Amino acid sequence: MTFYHLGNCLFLAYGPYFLTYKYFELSEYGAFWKCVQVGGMYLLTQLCKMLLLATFFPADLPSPAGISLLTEIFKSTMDFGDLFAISLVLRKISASGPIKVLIAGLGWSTADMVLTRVLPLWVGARGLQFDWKYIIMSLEANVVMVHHLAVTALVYLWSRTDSSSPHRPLLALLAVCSVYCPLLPAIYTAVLAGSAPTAFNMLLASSVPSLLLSAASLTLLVQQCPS
Amino acid sequence: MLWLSEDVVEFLRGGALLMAFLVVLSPLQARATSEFNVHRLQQFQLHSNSFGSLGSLVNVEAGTLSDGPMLRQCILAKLVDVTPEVYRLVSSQGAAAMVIILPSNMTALSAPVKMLVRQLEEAMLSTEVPMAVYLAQETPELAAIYQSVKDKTSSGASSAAANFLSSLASDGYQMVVSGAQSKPMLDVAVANVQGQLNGFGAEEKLPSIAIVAHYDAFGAAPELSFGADSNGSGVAALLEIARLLSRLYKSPHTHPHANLFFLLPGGGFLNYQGTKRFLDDMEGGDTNILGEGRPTFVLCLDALAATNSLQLHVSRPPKNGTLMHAFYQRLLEAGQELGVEVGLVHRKIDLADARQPWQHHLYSIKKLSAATLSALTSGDGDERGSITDTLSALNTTRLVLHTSVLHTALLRTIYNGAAGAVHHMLHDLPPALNVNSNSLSYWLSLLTSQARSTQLLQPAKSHPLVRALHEALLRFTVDVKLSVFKPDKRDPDFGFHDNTGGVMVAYSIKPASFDLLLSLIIAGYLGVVYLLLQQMPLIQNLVIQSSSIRVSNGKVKSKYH
Repeated sequence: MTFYHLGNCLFLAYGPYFLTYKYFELSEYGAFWKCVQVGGMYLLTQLCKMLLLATFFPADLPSPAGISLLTEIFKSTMDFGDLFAISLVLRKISASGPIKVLIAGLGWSTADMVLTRVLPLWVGARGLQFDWKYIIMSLEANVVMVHHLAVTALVYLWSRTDSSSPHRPLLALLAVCSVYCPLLPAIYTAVLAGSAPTAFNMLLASSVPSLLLSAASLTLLVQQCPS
Repeated sequence: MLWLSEDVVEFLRGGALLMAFLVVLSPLQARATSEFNVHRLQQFQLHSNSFGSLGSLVNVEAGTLSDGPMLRQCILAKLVDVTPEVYRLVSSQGAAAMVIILPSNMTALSAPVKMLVRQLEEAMLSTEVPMAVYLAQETPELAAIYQSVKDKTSSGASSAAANFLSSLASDGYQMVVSGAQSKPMLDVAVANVQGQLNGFGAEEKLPSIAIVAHYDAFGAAPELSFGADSNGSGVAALLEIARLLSRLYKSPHTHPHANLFFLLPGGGFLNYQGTKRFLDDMEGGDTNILGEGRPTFVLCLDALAATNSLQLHVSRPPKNGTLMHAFYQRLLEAGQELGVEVGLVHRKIDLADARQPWQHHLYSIKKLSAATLSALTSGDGDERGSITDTLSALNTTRLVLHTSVLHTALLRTIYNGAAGAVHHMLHDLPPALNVNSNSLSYWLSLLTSQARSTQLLQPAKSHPLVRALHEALLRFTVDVKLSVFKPDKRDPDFGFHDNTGGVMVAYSIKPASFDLLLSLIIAGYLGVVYLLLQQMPLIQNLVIQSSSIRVSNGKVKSKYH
């Protein structure tokens, strides 16, 4: 594989971000700088989460049996911090509802992608060895974008509804789901213990719940904010 | 407002389609990079001729022996498939590299196959090829790579389109050996180790017998040259005899009236460079036990366990009354008693020979009475210096027997005409003075615990093996000397290149056409995403309709679930 392959992967990973940004003409809202600010917030949140994790869940030595599910659940629980941070971000951005959600979600997921995927792609996809995992990683970036947009929409809806709204429990349920659905691949692996799932199966396992979640939150968004 | 929902829905669909496509297209085994050890073919110069493999760096695609083109490929081939003709063909087709896969168990090869392997080695070592040639032990990983490449090249696709499709479906491999191109080794040296046992009486007048066995080994790949029979067997026999006789020399009752001289020269496979140097030094005035004016006999040992019989190779038939004649008679006797057939092979010295077949020829040229004892019947064969010559392939029982014959014959020659207790002892050796198979096995395992090709025995003076030999002779003999020499700088008799082996990495790769196809698919995917974004208003309406249905009628489920 070559530099060309790296280009392919980056094209696949970033194309949808770029298209979304362009198509909704976010630049007209001066969204670029806001997106960067959201990215900074993302960075700060992750640092805080890491500090908390390191303090209260001291790194357990890697057990030979693999990652323990309980530790993973603890770690996922920390992701409620993300929801809190997103709600803060949403409060700071001054724009109409859906645009707000787009800016926050896009900024958040772009920061996620830059911080977690660019380096592995840069190091790995340029190598001589061909491996499907870099294509999968790029596809995952797309799924992650959808997931973060859905989560942002949920947080936005939560802040708009009052405690008496009939949608409140549903929103809470979806929020909890959104936090714990990254656990599904781990559970999938645990269930399939022995026969390692192929990389594409793992991608499916992580994308299907994200996609269902986003479909649900979008429906709710449409109901709440009919244009 | 509803752009967002549309966007997400589109992503879902596009992503699912793309994934389905990729799942169908690809064999989804994420194979890791595989690495394996490879041993490079010898690259050496002898008498200003170069032999072996010139190349050492590899960075080309893998291929197999096939009718197709081999240009700029790394040809993988199993040892049994490679004949000298195939080897020449691969080289002449312009292959960039060749990896010969050795079976994991070399000793299990049948005798005819071993003979073919030796012929191949002979062919590889007598020519010079520009490609890089490596030998590798078969591992499951390497076998899988070989099979995959073989399937790919032999798929026999009839049309260009079919070829293209099969190249997309199967993995290719890029074979890489990195590092520096092999360069001449500047400080190759050869060490000779010598020691002696002085007889009782006036040393200068006593008859002297020299026992010589070169300790180096040779083979297609330096790192695989363990040389158990050639010449591990000769060195082991020499050390065992030195050990046994040293006890007799220490006791005043059995102190023989003969000198014994032991020489372990290096460079035996380089046309006996060590011996040559030793003889040159001797002529140069080094006082030596083989000096003129007394009966002398030089006995070289080489490949003592190759066959069931022993041959004394001479360049002149032994004359009656000489030490060599006496030894030959004793050897015949001992052979008869122990049930080993002993023969005499006479071959005249051909000074025009670029390489002397036997070591004793060099002594004979210097007018010394010399012979080589070997189990081989001819010095021209390719039995000596092969990668098939390993300890597990050696018949140790046979070596013990042959060493016993040699030992008995030597004792009788040394104690020629002795009477009394000694005479009695000769015919009924106490067990402690007999050849001990444990001791022989110990020497053999010491020698074969490492590859002994000359360029690996560097630095010659402090190499563990040379030191071990030196210490062994120090223990058993006196006047032990370790001398090291280097080839002449301006007109070297021999030379080596470094890079005797390393790690080869096989990267699984896809052809460039695959990358192009991938680009097209990704572009298509992004195009679909763009189209969906453009169709937003339509989908927006759909969502509103469905949600209004849901609002008006709680029992209707959203179509998104």
